[in-house]
Amino acid sequence: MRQRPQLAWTVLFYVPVAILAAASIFGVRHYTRLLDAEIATGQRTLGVAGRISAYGEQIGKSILLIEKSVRLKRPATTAVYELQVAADRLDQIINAFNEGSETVSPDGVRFMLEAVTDEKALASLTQMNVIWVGMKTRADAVVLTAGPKKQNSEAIPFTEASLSEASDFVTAQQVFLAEQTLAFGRRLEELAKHRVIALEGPRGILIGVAAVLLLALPGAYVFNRVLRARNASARLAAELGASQAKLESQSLALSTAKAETDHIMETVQEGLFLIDANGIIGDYHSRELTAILRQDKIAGRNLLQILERLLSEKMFTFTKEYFALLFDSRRREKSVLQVNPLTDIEVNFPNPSGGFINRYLGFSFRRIVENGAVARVFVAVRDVTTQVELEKKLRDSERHKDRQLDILLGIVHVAPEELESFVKLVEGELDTINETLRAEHFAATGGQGDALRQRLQTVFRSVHNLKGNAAALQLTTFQKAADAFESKLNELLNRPQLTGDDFLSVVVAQAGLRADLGDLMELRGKLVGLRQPVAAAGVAPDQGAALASPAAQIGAGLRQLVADAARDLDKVTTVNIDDYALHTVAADRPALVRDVLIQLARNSVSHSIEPAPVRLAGGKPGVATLSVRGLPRTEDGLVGLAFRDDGAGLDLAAIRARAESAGLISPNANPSPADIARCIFAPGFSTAAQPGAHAGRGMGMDIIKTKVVDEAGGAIEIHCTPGEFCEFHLYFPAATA
Amino acid sequence: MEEDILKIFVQSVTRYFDTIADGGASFGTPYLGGEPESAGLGFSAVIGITGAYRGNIYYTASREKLHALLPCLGETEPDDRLCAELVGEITNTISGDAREQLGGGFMISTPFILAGGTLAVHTAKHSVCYVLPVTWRQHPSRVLVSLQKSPDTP
Repeated sequence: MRQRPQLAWTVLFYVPVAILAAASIFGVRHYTRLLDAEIATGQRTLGVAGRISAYGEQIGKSILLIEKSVRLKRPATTAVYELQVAADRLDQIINAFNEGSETVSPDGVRFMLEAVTDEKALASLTQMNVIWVGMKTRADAVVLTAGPKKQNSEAIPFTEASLSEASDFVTAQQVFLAEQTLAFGRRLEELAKHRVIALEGPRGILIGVAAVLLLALPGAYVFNRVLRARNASARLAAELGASQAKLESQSLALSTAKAETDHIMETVQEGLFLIDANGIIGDYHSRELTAILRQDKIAGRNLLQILERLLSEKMFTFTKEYFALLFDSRRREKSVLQVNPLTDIEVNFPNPSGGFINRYLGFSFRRIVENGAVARVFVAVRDVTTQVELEKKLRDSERHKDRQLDILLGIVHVAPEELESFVKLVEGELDTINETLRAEHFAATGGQGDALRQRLQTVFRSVHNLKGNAAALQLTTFQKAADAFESKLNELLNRPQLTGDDFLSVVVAQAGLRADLGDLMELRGKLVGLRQPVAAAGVAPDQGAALASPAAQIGAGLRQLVADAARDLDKVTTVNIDDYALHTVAADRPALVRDVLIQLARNSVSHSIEPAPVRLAGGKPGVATLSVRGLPRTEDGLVGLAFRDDGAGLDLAAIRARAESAGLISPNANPSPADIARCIFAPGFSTAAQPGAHAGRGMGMDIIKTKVVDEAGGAIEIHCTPGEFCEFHLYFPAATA
Repeated sequence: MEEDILKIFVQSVTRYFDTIADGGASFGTPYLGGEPESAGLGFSAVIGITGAYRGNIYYTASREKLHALLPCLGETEPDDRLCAELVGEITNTISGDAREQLGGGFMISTPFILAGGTLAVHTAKHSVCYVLPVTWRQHPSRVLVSLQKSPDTP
C-alpha cells in the first residue's frame, strides 16, 4: 500500500526532474566552457591589440637606435633586426584584425583571431591601417637599406637625413597609433564583454534551473518524506488512539477488578498475602492480616521473624523447616500441605495492658510456581480461637461427662451410707498420704534411703486400702486409678535408691485421686435428691436401717467384693457371715474391720481359693466357702473375728522361696512354719508372679498387720492346714472398741 | 504431664544451686499444699503465669538460707533487701527455665516480692498447689507450683 505513491513519485517526478537537472547541468557546463573560451579569446585579443602600440614604440625605438648607430658609425644590426621583427609582428597583427587569421597571443598561445566587423572597431582599425602604412613604409625602407645587402635589391642605402625623417615620422605617428590602439582596445573590450554577457545570461538561467531542479529533488524527497512521516504519524496516532482506547478499556477493567479485589481484601475475614522464598511478605495483603497478627506495616517484613516472637521455640523450628519444604519444588505440594504444622497454632501476643493474649491461628498455604520453581507461596491465616476454644470446651465437657458418667454408673448402686463411708475413707487415706509426704526432713533425712521407703510403703498401704474398698463397692474408676497409682509405687519400691524428687509421680497421682474424689462428691450431692424419693417409695424402714448399719454395709460390700473377684478369676464362691458377731466387733471400729476383711477376702479369692475343677478333683465342693464368725473374748479382753476360707491355704514352700529371695529368711536357716507364715505380713511380699487387679502387690497383709497390730494394738493368728483351709483370727482391744 | 512440669522445676532449682553454690540442693518429698497454705519461710517471691498455663510460681526461703547463699553471689554483707532480691531472682530463674522448656505459651510476669513468714498461696479453681521442699546446707526453702492448663489451650 505504501509503495505505490513512492513509485508514482519516482516515475512522474524524480526521474524527469533528475533528467532536466542533468540537462541543465550539462548546459551550464557547456556555456561555462563557451564563456571560458570567450573570455580567453577576448583576453588574448586584447593582449594582441595591446601589442600594436608596443610594437609601434619598438619600431620607433629601433629606428632611433639605428640612427644613433649610423651617426656614431657603429653597426646597427641588432636594432635593424628588432625593427624588422617588430614591423613583421605589427603587420601580422594588423592584417589579422583586418582579415582574421591564426596568431600568437602574448602568452605564447596560438589562437584564431577573428576579423574585426564592428563599425567602431573598424573605424579605429582603419586609422591604425593608415598610420601603419606610413610607418611600415619607413620601417621597411630602413630595414632594406640598413640591413644586409639583398641580392638584386634596388634599395638605396639610407642616409642620416632619411633616417631622421623616418624617425621623426614614426615618432609622430607613434602617438596616433597609441591613441587608436587604446580606442581599438576599449572597443574590443566592450565587444568581449558583450559576448560574455550574452553567454552568461543563458548560463545563469541554466544554473538557476539546475539549482531549482536539484533543490526540487531533495525538497520533494524531504516533502515526500515529511508527507509520508505525517501520514505515518497520522496512522500511528490513529493506532495509538485505538491502543489508548483499548488500554483505557483494559485499565477500566483492571481498575474495576482491582476495586473488587480491594473490597475483598478490605472485607475478607482472613489474612491473605504472599511470601517469597525468604519469607518476606508481599506489598499487597488483606486488611484483616494486621488485625490477626496485631501488627501494623506488615508488608516487606519477614513472616518467620514475626512468628518467632509468637511461637514456642520448638514450634518455630518446625515452622522454619516447613517453610523450606514449601519452597522445595522437588516435594509434592499435596504431600507438603498435608503436614502443615500451623493449622491451629497457639500464639501469644503481648497485651499492652500487661500479660499476654492467647490466640489460635490457622495457616494454610498454596504454592505459586513459575518456570518449574516455587516463586512464592500464597498464605491464608485465620483467627480460629473461637473454634478451637469451642472444640476444647466440647472435648473437656465430653471428657468430664464421660468421667462423671463412669463414676455415676459406679455409685448409683451404692447405698448413700456406703458412699459416705467410702468418701470419708478416701479423704482419710489421701490425708494420710499427704501428711506422710509433707513431713519435711530436708537434707538430713528428707531425701534419703529408708525414711523415703517407709513413706512409700505408708502411701502404698493407703492406696491399697482405698483400692480394696473401691473394689468392694464396685467403684471401678477409683479402683483403676488406685491400681495405676500402685503401679507407680511398685516401680519406686523396686528402685535401689530413692530421692525426694522421685515422689513427683506420687504426689501427681495423689492429686489425680483428689480430683476423682471431687467429682464423686459432686455427684453424690446430685444423687441425694434422686435417692430420697426412691428410698421413700421402695425401701422398708427397718430394711433401710439394717442397710445403714456398719456391719450390714461391711457384709454387703464383702459379698460383692468376693463375687466380683471370683467372677474375674473364674472361681465359684459363697460367703457366710455371722452378722451378729460382725456387728458386735465392727460397731465401734467399722473402717478397721471393713478394711481388714476386704484385704483378707481379696487375698483368699486370689491366692487360696482354687478353681472349681481343681477343687472337685481334690474332693472338695466346687463352690468355695468364705466365712466370718465371732471369736470368744480373750482373757486379755480382746474381741475377735475369724475369717476362714476352705481353699488351699498358705503355700509355705512358695512363701519360703519368695522370703529367701527377698532376704527375709536366710537360705541356710531352718524356720518354723509359723516363721515362714509370718513373712506374708512383710510390706510388698507376694508369691504372685504378676500383680493382678485384686491382689499380688504384696500390700494386703501388710495393711492388715499395720492396722490391727501396729495401729489398733490387736493381734493376728493364722490357722492353716495346707490344702484344706486357712483361717485368720483377728483380735481387737476392747479398750479401743 | 504435670509430673513433667514439676520435673522442670526440680531440674531448674538443682541447676541453679549447681551453678551458684556448687550444688548441694536436695529435694524432700513433694506434697499438696492446703488452702490456704502457710508455706512462707521468711522471704517469698511469686511470678504470675499466663498464656497456655495459668497460675503462680512461688519460691520461699528462710533468711538464714538466703544469708548463706548471698556470699556465693559475691554479696558479703547480706541484708533484707538483698534477700528479697535473691528470692525474686531465683523465682525468675526457675520460671524462665520453665518458659524455655514449655515454650512461648508459658508467659511469666515479673517477680513480686513478699516479705514475712506467712505466704497465702492462691490456688486456681480445680487446681492444686504442689509444694517441692528444697534443702541446701540444712536450710529449708520451698518451690510452690500452682498451675492449670489454660482453658483456651486444646
